[in-house]
Amino acid sequence: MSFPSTVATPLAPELPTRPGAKVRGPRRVRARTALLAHGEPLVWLTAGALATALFMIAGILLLIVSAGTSTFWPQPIYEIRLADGRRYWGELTAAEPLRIAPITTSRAGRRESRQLDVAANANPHQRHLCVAE
Amino acid sequence: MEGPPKVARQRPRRQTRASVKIKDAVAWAVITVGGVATIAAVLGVAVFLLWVVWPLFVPPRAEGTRLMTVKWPQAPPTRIAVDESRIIGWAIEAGGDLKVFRMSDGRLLSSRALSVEPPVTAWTNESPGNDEFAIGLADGTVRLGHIRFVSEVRSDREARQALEGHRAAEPPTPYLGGLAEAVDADHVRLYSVEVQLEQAMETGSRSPIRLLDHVASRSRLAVVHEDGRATVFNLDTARRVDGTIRDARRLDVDYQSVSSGAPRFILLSGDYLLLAWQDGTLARYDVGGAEAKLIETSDLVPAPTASLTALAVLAGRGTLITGDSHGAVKVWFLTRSEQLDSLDKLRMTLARQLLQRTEPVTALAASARTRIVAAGYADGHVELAQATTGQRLLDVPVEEESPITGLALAPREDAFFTASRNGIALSRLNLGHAEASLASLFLPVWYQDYEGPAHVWQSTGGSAANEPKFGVMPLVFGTIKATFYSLLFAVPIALLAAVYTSEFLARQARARIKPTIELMASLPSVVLGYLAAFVVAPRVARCVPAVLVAFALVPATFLFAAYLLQLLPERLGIRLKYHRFVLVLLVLPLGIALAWSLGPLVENWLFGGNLIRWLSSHDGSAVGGWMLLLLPLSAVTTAYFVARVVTPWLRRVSSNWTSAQCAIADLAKFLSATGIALAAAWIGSYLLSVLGCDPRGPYLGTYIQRNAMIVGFAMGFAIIPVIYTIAEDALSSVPEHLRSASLGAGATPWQTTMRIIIPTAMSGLFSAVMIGLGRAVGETMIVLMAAGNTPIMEWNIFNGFRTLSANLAVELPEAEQGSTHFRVLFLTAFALFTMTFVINTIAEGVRQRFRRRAYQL
Repeated sequence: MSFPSTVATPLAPELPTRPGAKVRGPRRVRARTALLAHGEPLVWLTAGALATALFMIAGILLLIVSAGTSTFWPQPIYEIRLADGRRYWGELTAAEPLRIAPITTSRAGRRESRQLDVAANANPHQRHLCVAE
Repeated sequence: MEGPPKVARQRPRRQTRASVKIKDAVAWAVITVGGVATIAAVLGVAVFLLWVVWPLFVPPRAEGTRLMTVKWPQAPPTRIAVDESRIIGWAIEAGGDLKVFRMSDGRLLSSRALSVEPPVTAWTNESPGNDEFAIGLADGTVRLGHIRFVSEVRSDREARQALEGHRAAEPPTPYLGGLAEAVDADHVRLYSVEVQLEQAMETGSRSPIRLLDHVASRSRLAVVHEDGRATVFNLDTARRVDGTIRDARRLDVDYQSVSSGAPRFILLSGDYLLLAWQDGTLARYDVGGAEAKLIETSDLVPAPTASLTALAVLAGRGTLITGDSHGAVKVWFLTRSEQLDSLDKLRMTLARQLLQRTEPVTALAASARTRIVAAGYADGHVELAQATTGQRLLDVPVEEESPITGLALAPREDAFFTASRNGIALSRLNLGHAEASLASLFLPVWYQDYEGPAHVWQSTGGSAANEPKFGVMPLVFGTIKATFYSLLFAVPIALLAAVYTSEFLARQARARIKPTIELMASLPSVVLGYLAAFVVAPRVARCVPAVLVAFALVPATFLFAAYLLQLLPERLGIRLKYHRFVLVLLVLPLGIALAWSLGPLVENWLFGGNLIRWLSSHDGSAVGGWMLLLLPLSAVTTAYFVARVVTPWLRRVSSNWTSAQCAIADLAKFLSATGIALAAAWIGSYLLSVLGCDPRGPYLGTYIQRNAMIVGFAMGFAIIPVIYTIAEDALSSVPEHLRSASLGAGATPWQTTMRIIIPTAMSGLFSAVMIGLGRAVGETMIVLMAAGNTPIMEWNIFNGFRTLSANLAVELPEAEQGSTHFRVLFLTAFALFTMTFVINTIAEGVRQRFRRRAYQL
């Protein structure tokens, strides 16, 4: 890495940037603004990188803390009644939109139902149930 | 380091105090010992690794041959065997007599006819890995069974008495057709050969059996009669209680259409029946269905003057070994090819030639466990080779000018047993680790059932049918891939964050933020791996397009926000600069939210509504995939072009403009550059897809939940703090007078950073990146948990990989100590050691160069 002999380019925008080139005083034209020289967008990019890093660390700590402490706070219990009269109780472990495939419905890919995945704690076998509603 | 010169107030003491001298000597000794010990410890690690690895490359040795004279009343035997401890052996003479020998001196222990009436006309060849045996008789019947070595410890008074006077140093004593040796006062160990043959079984013809083969695990029997009939039986269902075979499960094979002569060799392999003739013709029949279908014929001996003299099969019956009258031993197996016109798209392919001698091959033997092949020649030599690596191991002269007729490898591969017209011979061997050679470890090898040579790591095959595949390159590749994608993610964030922290952040904020980032490094990597595998990976899999969009959109949002803020009046702008970081923190969620909402749109527009399905299928437009690959490229090119051409031009032109005009021009520059980058990527993608190129395959492929993108992200947590801290220290330690001089000369902070601070701190930045690289290369838990551990060689970012370190963690606990696998794992450890050593050495060299430059300031 070699350094230019002058760093005063913002004030003399027409300066040659080659290292070692002599700068003549009279040719200087003072720019009316140093806006471009401040390189604010690039500073923002570096700030953004720092923000991202902080966001990552904060995110992962929050994730660990929230997922860890939720052990001590029970989740709402859902009750599911089956057509044959059996009933299951359990926590909701995951919910996701169910995309109806084009084969089953004419309106392809519409998000019509919600899929519930219930870990039925009430029954001794720890069964997982998937419920579409 | 020289401190500032002390100002001499009084006359300096001439003599150093004794205590100082002692301290100096002690410090010198401690530092020297510590330094030397450090170097010695590092070298010791390398030496230890090499010490474990070294036996892999010790050449195999022959350790002497014991010749034992035996008179054969008829022709010398072709089928022989020796037991695991090389104490007892048997041979089947031409007439069907089974003879049992003591291997220490060739003493005949027993001899019996396997069948007296009707006489034996054929028996099965050696079937590596099991003791199945069957004989064919002159009346066309077959008797199935086995021959096995039995070694048992018994408290048998009679046998013990027979052994009276037997000394421990002597070879075991002949006893009841076998051998016996004393274990202690009451116990004897008895060695014997057990032959069990079932009832004779009709095979549909009264003509003598010429050839037969039997595979008990598939209940399949194939026979060729002297009258030219060839039949395959499926015994599971076909055998009746009385031993006869029902016609329904009988497949008749009409081989006369292939060759009018009688076949010389018969072999059942999977669902195929292979018949081979003297001239090298091989016919392959599918016998898995209701009738036998001829699938292909091939020529095993292309030379017109040569003939096929020996045929053997490796354990698992998937690989053929042929020996011909010109002395060549070759390896053949079925390979798949879509271009073939054969019925099942498979063809018997010559994989490699193992051995070549001028004398004809007279006998072949395969190991029961591994891929060692032994070939006996007409000049009495036996050569050994490894069928997978193709390495020729040994040439052992056993007999002088007397052809080897029978050949068998000892079960432990520590000896081979030969028969010739002079008698029998046992040659001791030390084959070492024949499965691995430098070439097979680092170059592509053509493994059984593969279409061609490939780099494969598959250290255990599950069964003898699958050879262990020790190709180290997929692991080296995985390590490089993990490092590459991790650094691609971590280096920009860490270096830019370090620049902002040291140059733009207020002092108090810096004191709080730097330790926060360093907190990241305190997370154990197993936690990161766990979170990446079980929390991040499944969630990212549900929103891949949004994540991909975020990689491009979040940085663009920062830039766009900055360009917009430049439009504000100058005064307000300067005031806002004090709260810049707060604004950035507000913009980040904005960018993420934007990416989140744009993700599905992009998915609909470029990938037909489902990116993951698009990646694993081969239909749909290829434009989106190329966009993924070309957009970073076009963005970098455009940014370079803007920085080198447009910005200097804008500076020249704008010297008379007001601040607002400049800001508008700057924003226009940014927007048009973004547009150009997008347009260039789109045009390139469109052209490539019109030309018929599809990135799916070489660069992109099926989305695997645990992939390089997830690993890159998780590894970011491990690497970013390391790089960040060292880089920030390097930037902060640039002498303040340089910074002041630059600012004093009128340079803006940004210009000072780019042209003074970063070049001066370059050595520190470089070593920061290199230490991050070293961390990424050696990282184990994150890749172990989040990379899927499939040892494949693809650059696809949506695919998993297996690194050297993760492979060690997975396999070393399971590897048998001292085995080839164990030593190859140590070799990969040595490769890892070498990689980090080379990286660190290069890094140190480059750092020193930068530092020398920086000192010249």
